Amino acid sequence: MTSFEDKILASVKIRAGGINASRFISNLRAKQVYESNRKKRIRTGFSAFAFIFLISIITFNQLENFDNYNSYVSFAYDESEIYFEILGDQLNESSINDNDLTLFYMEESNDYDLEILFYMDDYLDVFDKNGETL
Amino acid sequence: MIDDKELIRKFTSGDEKAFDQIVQNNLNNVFGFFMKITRDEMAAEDLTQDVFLKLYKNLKNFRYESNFLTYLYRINSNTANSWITRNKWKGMLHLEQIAEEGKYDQKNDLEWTRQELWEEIAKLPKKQRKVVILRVTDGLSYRDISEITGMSEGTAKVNFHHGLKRLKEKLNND
Repeated sequence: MTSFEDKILASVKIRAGGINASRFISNLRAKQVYESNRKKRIRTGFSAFAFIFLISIITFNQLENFDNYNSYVSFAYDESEIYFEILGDQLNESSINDNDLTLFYMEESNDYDLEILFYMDDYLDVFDKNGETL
Repeated sequence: MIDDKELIRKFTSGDEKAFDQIVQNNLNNVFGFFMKITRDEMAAEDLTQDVFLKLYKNLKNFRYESNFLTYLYRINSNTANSWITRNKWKGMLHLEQIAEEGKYDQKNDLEWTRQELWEEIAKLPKKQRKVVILRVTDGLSYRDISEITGMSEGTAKVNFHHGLKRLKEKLNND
């Protein structure tokens, strides 16, 4: 084993000249400056990315909720609830039946066909019999 | 010549010139260590630069009760270890050939080339590799090796003999 160890040691031995210390130190300083600039660039890049990411998230969130901010009836969940509110006010009633609602939809849509006119005729007839007027 | 520990004290209190002095005091040692491994002046200088950059960053954490040379050797050993393993992969991927017959290669009657030796050292388990590198390049004692690597003298000895045995098998059989 020892002779093998000696062989390895012999193969590794080297007669190399020294190195110029002042040139090495100036290269070392240059590398230190380069490394510190590289770190600064990475840090700045990361901060910029974080800033852009944050702004994007905020913008996206605002665009996503754009309608909600502009709605003056934000308490209403769907259209029928709005109709109930308006119809309730118009008829001055707390409870609205299906016929009233259907009639209201028809009036609002301004789209009458023969079937609807018959329906309205029957409905108004009911009112007349009860001695009520619209 | 001012003692290294005194220079470290000066450096940690803000004297940058003290670090230059530390570099000057230890430059040839570190450069020689890497020349023995790489046999390439450029590579050895790059690795030496890496060592002193690491030293510059970490010197503020130096504990004065330990030996500065041991501390420096630890950085040398880790840098050499990562260089060797990095080059092992480069060699396997044929990305870069390790300089084989440089101007420092001696003509000898060995059965193996220097490149084969370092390729085999690179294949050793980490602990064995560390001990073999330190023992082979600078002929350090087991006591010094145990201080640098943090293993006991006995473990260092056993690792070296196992590593050497494996190298012998590989290099003499090829």
